[in-house]
Amino acid sequence: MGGGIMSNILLAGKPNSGKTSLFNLLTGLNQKVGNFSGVTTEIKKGTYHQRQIVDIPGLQSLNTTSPEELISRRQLLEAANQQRELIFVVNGMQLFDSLLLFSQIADLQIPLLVAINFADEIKSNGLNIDQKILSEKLGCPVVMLNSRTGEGLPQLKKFIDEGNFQTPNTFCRSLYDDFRTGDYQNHYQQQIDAAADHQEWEKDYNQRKQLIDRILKDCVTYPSQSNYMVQSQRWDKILLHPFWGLLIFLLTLYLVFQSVFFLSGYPMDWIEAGMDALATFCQEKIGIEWLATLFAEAIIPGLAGVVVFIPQIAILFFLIGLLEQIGYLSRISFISDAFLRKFGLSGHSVIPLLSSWACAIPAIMSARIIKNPRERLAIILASPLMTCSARLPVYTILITVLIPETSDQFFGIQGLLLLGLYLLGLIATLLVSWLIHRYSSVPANNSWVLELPVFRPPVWRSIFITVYNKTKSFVVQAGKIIFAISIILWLLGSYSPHDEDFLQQKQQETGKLEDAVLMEYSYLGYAGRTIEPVIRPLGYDWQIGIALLSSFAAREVFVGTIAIIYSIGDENADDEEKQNATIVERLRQEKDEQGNPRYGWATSISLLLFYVFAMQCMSTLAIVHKETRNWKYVIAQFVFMLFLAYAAAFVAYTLLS
Amino acid sequence: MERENYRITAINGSDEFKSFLLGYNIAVGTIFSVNYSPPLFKLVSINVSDKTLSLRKQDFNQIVWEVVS
Repeated sequence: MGGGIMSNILLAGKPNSGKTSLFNLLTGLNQKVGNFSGVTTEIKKGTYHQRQIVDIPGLQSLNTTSPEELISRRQLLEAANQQRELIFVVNGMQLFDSLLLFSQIADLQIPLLVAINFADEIKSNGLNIDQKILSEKLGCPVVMLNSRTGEGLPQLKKFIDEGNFQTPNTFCRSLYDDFRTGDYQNHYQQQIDAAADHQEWEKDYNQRKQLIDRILKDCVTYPSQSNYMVQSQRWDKILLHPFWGLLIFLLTLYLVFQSVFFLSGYPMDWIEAGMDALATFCQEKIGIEWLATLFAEAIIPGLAGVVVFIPQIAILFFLIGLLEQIGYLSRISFISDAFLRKFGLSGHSVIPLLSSWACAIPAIMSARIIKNPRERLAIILASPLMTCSARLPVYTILITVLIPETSDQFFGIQGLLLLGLYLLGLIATLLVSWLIHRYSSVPANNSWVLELPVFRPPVWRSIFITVYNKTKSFVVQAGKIIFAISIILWLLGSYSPHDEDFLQQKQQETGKLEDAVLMEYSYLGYAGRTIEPVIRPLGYDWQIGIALLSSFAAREVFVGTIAIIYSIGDENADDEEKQNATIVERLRQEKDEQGNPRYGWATSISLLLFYVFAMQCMSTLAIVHKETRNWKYVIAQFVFMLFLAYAAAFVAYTLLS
Repeated sequence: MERENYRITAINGSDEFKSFLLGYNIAVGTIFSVNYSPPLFKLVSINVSDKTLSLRKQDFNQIVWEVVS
């Protein structure tokens, strides 16, 4: 094995030029790619042949004010100072546009090479690029590439291995002082740092534009009639139609949510049955009694409450990934801009908002693509109200408890209720955004431009990688917490501060089963009853209270916690059916003091609403602080969402009970 | 069907707004064509140098243009 990392190579280019696809090809890593601007909002690093490859967010121009573009600009200026190498990725179908940015970066005098991406589209659209002349004109090596298939990659790798990077010294020298004497000084970097005024930028732009026009005339032959964008624009006539476009959008959303329920039914049953069998196996085969009980009643039921949702999470991300890859997400931005404007947001907010369905953390980070500071703050503070994947298990379990499956038909009321909860999260997000838009003193900038990428066939590998990463992240994150919590809960629920005599006496007094009495007078029982007065008005007993408390670390552990609590309590349950019941069946069988279902409409809806609004994610709070650098926002967000959750749950329970 | 092309002759508004558009290569002298402008969405979709960009109608109205073909 070789030594350490030799040096690093920056990957730069316009947004949606295929940098991250190339990064994945070079490093073998699995970073998310998409077909819209702003997929990369942070710096990503990987290694290729002992060289560190650094993928930076795409940028429109070095003359920028948006947070994620400023990150890239800073990286480029550092690269210039340290003479690091750079691969400039060009969208081959948008040469003029890409080369304008290239000319700015070339003027920073960084050793670089150009990778012209989308070679397949260049060929199919009849564009002819003379690579040799272009290389001469740009003053650096040029490679043709298709980062989706890997075509051209061997040549690019050869160039990297041979260190075939060149500083394009012959580029825009007109922008340098003392050029004629040969004793020139590059004032371009200072010009960027000093945030030059518009007149200077426009003059700079016009000089570059003329130069690039000349270069392209010399080395690119365009077809007499370009069909590039024509097919996409035909589709857009339907997809962006005021009526059909909206209808297709709403139908797409409904189909996504209904698919989550319909397609996941069988695999979820298989996983549940498998985990039950595993618990039975552990109970029978582990010789040490306490260890067998710990596995069979705590760890396995807890983990089952997490892994059972893998099919739903995977299906949701597969469908969202598919929409991203083909380019439909940008169309959703287009359709929704006028509507979102009423709440102080823009079509750009759609990407973070839809990302929130996965997790609020990447959503908050992707808000960096928003150039309007007030809108960005609104998204950071409001997007945790959108329904993240951690809420999905809570929603689906409670919906399934409330509404039993009646048939195998695809269309059903469960999907509608789930869609309703997602919409409720969206409405809350919009209202909070409106409040921030209306009352915040953070500066606002209402100009907005959206790029609509051409429709492209999906890269299935990339979608499956995204699904794998998201699902893994869900299982690992929730699994770690539930593993720890399951052991703690088992210990607290299996031991009591009282002696055996006290417990026997209570058993005789109440006529309850031994384990039910132990649970009630265990450390866990006391902890639950301590918070019971606070949650009683919401319709929750102390057992739900324990699940609620544990899910303040991460809300996805609710189901696992509930499974453990009832599993411990049911160890010696009188009826065998109850012992072997799934989580859903167990919740349906639970009764309150009056003998009514514990998870009836009032309590279940109250719980659902609590989970719609409450901020139960420590990681999200941490990332809000990281992005805003202000604890005031973090505290306000936590308190406001908790208040909203409590109030909504209280009103729902009061009205329904 | 051949679309009409337009050349930008002036852009009204603040320098900040003009710089914002410049980031997307929308400046005086830029040639563009209009794709569609659905009234409900209050957006104008234009083609600029092999890209489809959508601008808000209020922003698009700041652009002064002339027909070139």
